[in-house]
Amino acid sequence: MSNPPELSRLMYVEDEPDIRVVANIALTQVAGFSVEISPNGTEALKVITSFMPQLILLDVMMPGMDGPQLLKKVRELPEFIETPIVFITAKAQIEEIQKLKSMGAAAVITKPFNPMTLGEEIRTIWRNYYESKR
Amino acid sequence: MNDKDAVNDLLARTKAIVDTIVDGVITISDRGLIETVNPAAENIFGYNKAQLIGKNVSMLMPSNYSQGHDGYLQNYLSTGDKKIIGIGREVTGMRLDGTTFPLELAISEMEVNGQRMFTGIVRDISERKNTEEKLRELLARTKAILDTIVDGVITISDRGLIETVNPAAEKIFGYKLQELAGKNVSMLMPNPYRAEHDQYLDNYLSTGEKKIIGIGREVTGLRKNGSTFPLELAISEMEVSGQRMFTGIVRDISERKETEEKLRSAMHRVHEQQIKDEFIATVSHELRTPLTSIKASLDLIIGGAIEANSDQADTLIQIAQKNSDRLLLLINDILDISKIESEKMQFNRIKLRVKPFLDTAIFDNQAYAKKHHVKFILTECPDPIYIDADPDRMMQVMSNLMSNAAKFSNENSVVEISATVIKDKIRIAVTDKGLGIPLEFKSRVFEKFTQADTSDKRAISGTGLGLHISKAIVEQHQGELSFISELDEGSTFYIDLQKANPETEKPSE
Repeated sequence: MSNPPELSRLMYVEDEPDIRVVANIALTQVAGFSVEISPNGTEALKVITSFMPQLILLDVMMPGMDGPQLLKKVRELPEFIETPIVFITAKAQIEEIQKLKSMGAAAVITKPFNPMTLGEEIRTIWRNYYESKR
Repeated sequence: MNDKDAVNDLLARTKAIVDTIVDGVITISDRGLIETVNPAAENIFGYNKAQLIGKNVSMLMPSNYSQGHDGYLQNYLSTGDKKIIGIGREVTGMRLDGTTFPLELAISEMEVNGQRMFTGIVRDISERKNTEEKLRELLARTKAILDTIVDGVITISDRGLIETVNPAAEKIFGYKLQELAGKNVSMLMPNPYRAEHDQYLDNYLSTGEKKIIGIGREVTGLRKNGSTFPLELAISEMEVSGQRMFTGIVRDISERKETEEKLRSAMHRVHEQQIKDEFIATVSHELRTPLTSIKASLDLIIGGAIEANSDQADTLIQIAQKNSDRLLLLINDILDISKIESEKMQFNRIKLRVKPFLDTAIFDNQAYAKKHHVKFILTECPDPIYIDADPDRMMQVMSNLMSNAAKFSNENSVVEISATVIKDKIRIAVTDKGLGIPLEFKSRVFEKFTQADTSDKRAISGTGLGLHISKAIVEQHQGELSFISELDEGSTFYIDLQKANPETEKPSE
């Protein structure tokens, strides 16, 4: 039984500029990831294949292309068929979370998140994802 | 041709006629004995001539008739009381094979060589009888159908008079046939349908223009007890003995309507609940978004992730402060929405002089002008003119329109504010030279939590509730909030309010 590869490269798509700022600090300075943050789906799709994230974080409600639409687009790319995708959403209702999971999300993190533990939470999701794939 | 030849010729002709006609011709003596039969009679009864000549004619009748026959004849000869002579009547015949059949019999009396004789013309009417029987059966069936169907069937003449109604129609309208026959069918409709009906009929008969014929439609019926009810009516046209008639099929749809109404109201309740649920979900989302920035900023500082007093710490504090303001605005707007929807928003309306009101609006909203580098200018305002309005709520509307105008304006441009009198209305306009509203977003401008999808970050600094609240406030003043907008050229929002009478001006300060 081999351990999952170490998680180091994350992509986060978020339309709220202030949340991008705090999430960037939480994921880089606190958690030590290398992070590509995009303000919307179109920008994200432009850089995703060059950045090659190991895990993708998506906001749900975004103008233009929303999180679920972006998830579908990402899954159409052969390099990201298996990449774990995690929604970070302010829609905290149970039904909403179940709906997002049914779309093929590896997990759903609700806002407001704790920036001090966000990285650890994502690493746990990463490990569980690999456990479930075995 | 001599006389004898002429007689022979006549005889030959008569024989030919008698031999070829389809009716049976039988002559009998006054004793009831058969003297001659024609081929048709042989054919009808299945006998040949030899079997009939000289026999009593009663052999051609079933026993119950034949017994009476001789009696009839005797009675007639002695009393002259005609029972069948000269009168066409239906009797029963009996064939050689013993089978019986209906026949029409006409008997005439004549005297040949001083002797009284009778000629019977017989016609086998089995087929006609059969057809009549079938017709009777068909009629009985039709009647049974009409009597038992749940739909009312009414026939009316081309003058609109009721000719027949079936039991269902009697039940639906609460009348008996006797009360309806010969009456105008419009008695079964309340006004204004009653008045319209004769017009329809006249119109149709003269122009052929169908308003209801051939088309099922929902109308209102009037019962004998004066109550009205929804009914479905289908009218068809027919011709009976050359006369135009109409058949109306009526169905009482009260129950169906009631069920539909119940369903509609249940669906409406479900829809209302869905809207409420969606609103709560959206509110939760909208509150959590600024809260995420506030909480994360503070958590990062308190958790020691960044150095206190650093530039990064300053940025985070500013984020927390900005989002706290946003949260406060949002909470205020949500409270306003809640008040509007529960109709609990209070309005303290006074006679408000428009010019000083707009001057104040420009002064009070300077912060927006500065922030977005635009200028608010009052371009036109007759003075004094008045509106009847709650100054605080109307100022809230102005702030919303002016902050939107500033936010979406190009830098260093002018936002024009004006008031004009149009007939008995006063129109306040706020015009910006900015982004304009995308076509696909125009229909949703006044909806809750809507903002045009745009990458321009100015668009997302509002709550998405302002215009919805503003519209509700203006409408509570019996006014109208509307807009025109051209993409990349700008937008103008109009507040149209009733002009107030200055004589009754109350002090606004």
